[in-house]
Amino acid sequence: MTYMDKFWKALFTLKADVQVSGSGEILTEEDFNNLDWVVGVAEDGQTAITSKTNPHSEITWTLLKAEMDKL
Amino acid sequence: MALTRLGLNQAINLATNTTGTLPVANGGTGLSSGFVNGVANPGKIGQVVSTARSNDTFTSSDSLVASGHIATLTPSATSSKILIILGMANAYINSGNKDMRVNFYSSIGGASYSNIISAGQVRDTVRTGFGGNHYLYSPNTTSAVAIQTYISRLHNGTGTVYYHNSYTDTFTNLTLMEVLA
Repeated sequence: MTYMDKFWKALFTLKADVQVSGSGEILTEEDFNNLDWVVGVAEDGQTAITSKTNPHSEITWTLLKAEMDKL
Repeated sequence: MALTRLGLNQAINLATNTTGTLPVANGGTGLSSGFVNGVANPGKIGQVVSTARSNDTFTSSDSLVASGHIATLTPSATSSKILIILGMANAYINSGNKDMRVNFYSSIGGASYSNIISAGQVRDTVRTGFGGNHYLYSPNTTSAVAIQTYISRLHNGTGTVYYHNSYTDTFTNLTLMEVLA
């Protein structure tokens, strides 16, 4: 299992099918804080509205890293 | 134009020994008349820019998100078109039960990005994709035109899709060519 496979598995364990986007490997809390979280859909009905602020209280870098370390 | 029958091994100087208009021959540059409806530079490429994406670029979003892969070109005339060429080296469907769609978006003069057209899909049955598409875009502006790919999952399911997976050390290239009128 690759590092990013662990990232996704841990992320979906904390919140199933949470919608997020980004680039590069998420190795640090700084990387985590640079993810784009989908918070809505624009008026065109197909473009995501995203935020750098994580809206999911059940997902934190500490919890995510702990889940990844279990894998 | 008068035509002369040449004998074996005879040559003719096209620059001096012709009458009428013979615009381009033997490396000539006379494109200023008589070429294609008198257009001096028909279909010439004015400029080319290209950007490469080599790192993982991913989403689990069902709506289109910015990939961050951007190429920007400032047309020299409003009549110019921009040929957008996307070469995807290693797209990847991580979950196996979601397709990925890729769209071209544009931002003109620093405005918000808006959708141009759907560039295509990578299907889950393929899992990894090597391909791309191109599109001839008419922005009708001389302001800076930024083209960015947007990506999302498509159809029902869960999991993640990769616009580019860095695993194989490959590059996904986004190229813009200004095609002069």
